Amino acid sequence: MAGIGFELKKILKKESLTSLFIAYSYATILSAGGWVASILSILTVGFINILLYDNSSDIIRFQVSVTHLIALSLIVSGIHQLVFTRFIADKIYIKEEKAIIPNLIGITILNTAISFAFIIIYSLFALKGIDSFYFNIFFIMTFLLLSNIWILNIIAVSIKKYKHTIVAYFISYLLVLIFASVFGKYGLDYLIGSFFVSNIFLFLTLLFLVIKSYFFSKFISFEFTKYYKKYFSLVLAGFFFNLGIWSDEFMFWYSSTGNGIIGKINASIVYDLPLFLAYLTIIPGLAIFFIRLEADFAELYDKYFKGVVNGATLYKLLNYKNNMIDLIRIATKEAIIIQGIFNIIFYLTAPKIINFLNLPLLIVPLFYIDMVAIQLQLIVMINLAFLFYLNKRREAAIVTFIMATLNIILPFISINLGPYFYGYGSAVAMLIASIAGLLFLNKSMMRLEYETFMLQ
Amino acid sequence: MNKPTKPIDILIIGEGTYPYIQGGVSTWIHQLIEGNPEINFGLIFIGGQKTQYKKQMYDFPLNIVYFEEVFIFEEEKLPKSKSIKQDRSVINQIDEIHNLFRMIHSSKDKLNFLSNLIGKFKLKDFLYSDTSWEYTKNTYFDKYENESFIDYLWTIRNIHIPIWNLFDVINRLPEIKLVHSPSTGYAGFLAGLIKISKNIPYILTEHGIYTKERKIDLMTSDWFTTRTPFVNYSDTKGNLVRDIWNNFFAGLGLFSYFTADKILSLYRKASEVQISYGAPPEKTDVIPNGVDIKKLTPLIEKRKAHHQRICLIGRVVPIKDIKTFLKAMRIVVNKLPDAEGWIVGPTNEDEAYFEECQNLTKTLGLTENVKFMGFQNILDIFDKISVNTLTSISEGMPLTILEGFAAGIPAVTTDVGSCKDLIFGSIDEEDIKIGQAGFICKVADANCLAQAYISLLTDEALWKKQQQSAIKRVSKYYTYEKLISNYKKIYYKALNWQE
Repeated sequence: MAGIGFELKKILKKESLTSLFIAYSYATILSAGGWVASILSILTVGFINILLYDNSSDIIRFQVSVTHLIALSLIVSGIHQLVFTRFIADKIYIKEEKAIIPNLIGITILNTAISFAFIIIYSLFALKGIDSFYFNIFFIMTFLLLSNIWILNIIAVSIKKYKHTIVAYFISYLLVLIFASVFGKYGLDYLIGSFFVSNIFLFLTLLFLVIKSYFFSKFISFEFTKYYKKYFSLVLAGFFFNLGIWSDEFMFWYSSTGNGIIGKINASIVYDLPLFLAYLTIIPGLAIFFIRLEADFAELYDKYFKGVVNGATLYKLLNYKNNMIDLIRIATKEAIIIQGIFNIIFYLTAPKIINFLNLPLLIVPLFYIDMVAIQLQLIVMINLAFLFYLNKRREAAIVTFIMATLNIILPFISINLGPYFYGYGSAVAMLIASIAGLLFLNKSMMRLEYETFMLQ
Repeated sequence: MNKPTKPIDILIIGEGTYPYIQGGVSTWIHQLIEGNPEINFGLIFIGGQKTQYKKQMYDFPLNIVYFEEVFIFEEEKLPKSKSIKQDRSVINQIDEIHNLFRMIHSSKDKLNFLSNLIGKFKLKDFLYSDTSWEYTKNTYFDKYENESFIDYLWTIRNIHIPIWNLFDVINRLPEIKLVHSPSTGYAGFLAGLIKISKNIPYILTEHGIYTKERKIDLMTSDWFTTRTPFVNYSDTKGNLVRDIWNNFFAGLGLFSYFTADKILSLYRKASEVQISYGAPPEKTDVIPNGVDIKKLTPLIEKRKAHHQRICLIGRVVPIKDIKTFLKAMRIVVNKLPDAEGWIVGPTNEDEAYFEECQNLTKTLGLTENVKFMGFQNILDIFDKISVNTLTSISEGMPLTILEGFAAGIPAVTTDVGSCKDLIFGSIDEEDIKIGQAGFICKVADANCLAQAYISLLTDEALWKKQQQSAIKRVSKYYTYEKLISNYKKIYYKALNWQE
């Protein structure tokens, strides 16, 4: 994401409230990415539809199936996300931009093939007993679309199409809202159809953005597949990260707390809503951190490496390094404080909010613990971002692995311990993963100059 | 490792010379081996990278019974980088080794200590271990904290990497009776290590003092520049790097001086420099180069006329200062429009410098008078010229001057190395009495050189007188036979053989 820092700084230079707001919206959308946007939009769809048509059973079916689509597509395409970003970054670095489009076509084909195989098998199991032909088709097609959108999104950002990407997201989710509001009354097929059509718009816009940016002579290339072996740690990290974010959900969906909403697609009413609400609370912390990382840390990191190459004294280099360490501390602290302030606000207002949303007050305690879990997850994400920045791929993979496995095991234990313990499993998993991340980060920074000079 | 075909008597270790590079030292090695057919020679060639040395320039005489090559800057040979943790106690041992070399006073058990450490502390440990990093960091902060760290680190790496390769050689070496090195540097260092570990005599002959020229050769090897494109050796920034290399090579030189049993040089001034650098005076001695008089004498008869030609035999490189010769030629041509300047020697060693010289020739309007002839056989040259010249900024004992003398050509040179001794005589009273065999000028003094050329080209009586001095001097003091017999004495004495 090099380059966004520069962009953000440019915006922030204007020093007005509007520019601040713009910078933070940028940061939010680019860092929290598609999943926050899409979850936000389906919650809104539900909200509007229930207001307009009071068709709550269809809406719930719609929300649940789309949530599953988002979760599964993120996990399946997670295999490629980081590796392909790396590939694109390298190609841009060595000024071989003409390779971008052919490989984009290549990865779209590969990713579609894998996603198709997955969704067919999944549908045979999950969509049993759903006779609506349209729903089945839309479900499968939307999955393939989302899976490719996540990858396209990464490329669009990699090649610095920030503004356009954000506008594309904004318009397409506005479309979801409009279509769903207009056609919602015709039932589930139309709701998911609306979602599908809006995502086609998003997909094509992103595709157009990327394709028009680069000259290409070849139509298709699979050169990027070399990277899967070379950077296998990134394959694992991409997969486990997305798995780790969603795994506790799946544990709850397919346990005693879950129930079938549509076919075999389950939801866990007790667990889902508070968690989604908590998810939305992560946005401010993430945005703040993103600006710190991309604007400030990137600059310091750059300084350090330029210093190495241009023959700075070791004393100076250690100075740069200490500045980096300070910034990591500041960024982590800031994220915790800002997040903490929001947490306090939510903590105090949670009953009112939940009341306002017509949700049972039973979920308030769970919402509290979810907020803690999400805050810890934010720290994990921050650690990972730094580790990737420092090119500590193996360590990042280990952290994501810890996060994913613990976020399966511990929620499982907490489910068996009973409702009082819901949410604690995920919170402890994130706590352990964040501690592991901090330890790795600490070690990496301690050994930074040794590794720079001795192991280059 | 090659197997020697016969038992080895004497091992010669050359660094970047014979059999791949032509020049004074290589010729000298070839002469020594050919001149002692009853002695079996082994030969070790130390080079930077294999790719730099394409083909052998010399046919091996039959008494070379063993040949081994060591390339000390082969990147492919470096172990793969991986993080290594090491026992902290190694740091003290590294310290001890450095002190051992600083105290330049060594004995067998200390070398064993060194071999033990090298055994324990492998090249990959030196390159990648945390202890090595700590050590490097500390020495940097002690001495060079205001200098570029990356330059420091790479310099330290580059000077140390060869040591492991050299130790490898010792472990694989067959039996030998005596070791002889034509320089200090890595070759002299290896010879010293062999002397201590095998307890055999070590003879060191220095052809020049291990000058900056040689170090720059090593430093600009491909390996070095590809690994560190940001290191430049200009005067502004190369100081740190140069200092470290100089200190390091001074250290290697001292080690050679203290381990060698005999320290030979080509001329008296060089001997004095060796002593000032720390060579124990009682070990030093002078054995000048020798040339094959029989081969060159016929050329004296072959010369038909007093040609208006001045010839510089040497590689077209900055150290030979060809540009000063061109400037001098301009002055000569002003007075003698028909005078010619020939530059005989390979032009491909420093293409950029060659191009500058050609441009200067054009600028000075000398394209009619000055010719770059490339490499030539000197037997085809000496009968067509009247003055043999060298305008170098550094020389040892240039063979071309002696060869010119043998062919009856006086020399005009800059005052470097032994040139003055050759032209004015220096070996003993008698040598001085023989008289001048040419002229000497200060380095870069084109005017002085030109005046000397002009007087030799125009005053035939003077030229004849100096020719006689040249022929006399070379036949009495600088013959090939004399060189061989001098070395035979030294070899036989060291080997306890009866002549």
